[in-house]
Amino acid sequence: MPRLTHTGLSDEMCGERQGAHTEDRKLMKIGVHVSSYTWPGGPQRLAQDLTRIAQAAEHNGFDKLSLMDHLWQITHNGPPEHEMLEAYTTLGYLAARTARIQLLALVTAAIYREPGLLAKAVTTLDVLSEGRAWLGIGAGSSEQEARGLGLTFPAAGQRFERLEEALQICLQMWSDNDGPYAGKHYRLARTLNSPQPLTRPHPPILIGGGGEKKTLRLVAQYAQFMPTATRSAATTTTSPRPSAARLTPDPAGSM
Amino acid sequence: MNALIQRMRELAKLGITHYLGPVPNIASITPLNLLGQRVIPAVDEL
Repeated sequence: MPRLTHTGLSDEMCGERQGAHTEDRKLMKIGVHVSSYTWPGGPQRLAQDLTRIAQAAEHNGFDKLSLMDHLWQITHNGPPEHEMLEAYTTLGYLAARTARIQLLALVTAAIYREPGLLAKAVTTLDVLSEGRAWLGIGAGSSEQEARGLGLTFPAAGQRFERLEEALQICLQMWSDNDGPYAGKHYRLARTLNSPQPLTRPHPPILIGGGGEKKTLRLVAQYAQFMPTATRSAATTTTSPRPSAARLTPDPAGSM
Repeated sequence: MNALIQRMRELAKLGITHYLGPVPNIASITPLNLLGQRVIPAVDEL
């Protein structure tokens, strides 16, 4: 099985983006996370509302705009019947309506898309946004929506195995190696990915989750960023140094 | 707003480099404008 690591990438990318945005050396970058689409204008105005939000965020100096990768609204934010948009379709739409703000799913459930297709989606977002895509990815945690829509939702151990293989496949597809990939769960005959992302060596990778046994190892091995929940923000991201910060989780927080 | 800026200072000292969070009543745009006028410039100066 191919074993890809971030050798030569992570140390350079910790805390700073390589590529199109290296001119920005701010100590702290602030992004906005959209976790609900239930707004007064309803579905008929969703496209206009999203455009206004994204353009206002960009105009006001926000560095990133992230969306959830859920199929139904999650319990914390509302009932499952509330509006939810597919993440990568929405990010592609926003890429066309903005010019500078970075875009990501916070976070993609690795099990929802075959990894080859996920790598193509993030690559496409990066190319069409001219280098503004991140890969935010996690093992997946919303069993109800997955089972409701007929998506696979294996046990936690297997979800983490699939997450790691998805990371390996994305990194292989973002490298010069277009050879086969043979993992326990995924087998790809040829990992050809053309065009390659504009962000080199690849879009920054953020791995969601806070588990010390599995997630921290995956972050150290494959990613540049990990989220840390705080009392006043649903998510902050930091470099993959386990000693950087351990703050009290409180997903209810917001800006 | 001041509390949020102070929180950013604390997080920056801990090595946190990015901050992502939901914004209440985001569809009204007003909160985004307030954050852009008061918080982001202050954080840029950290």
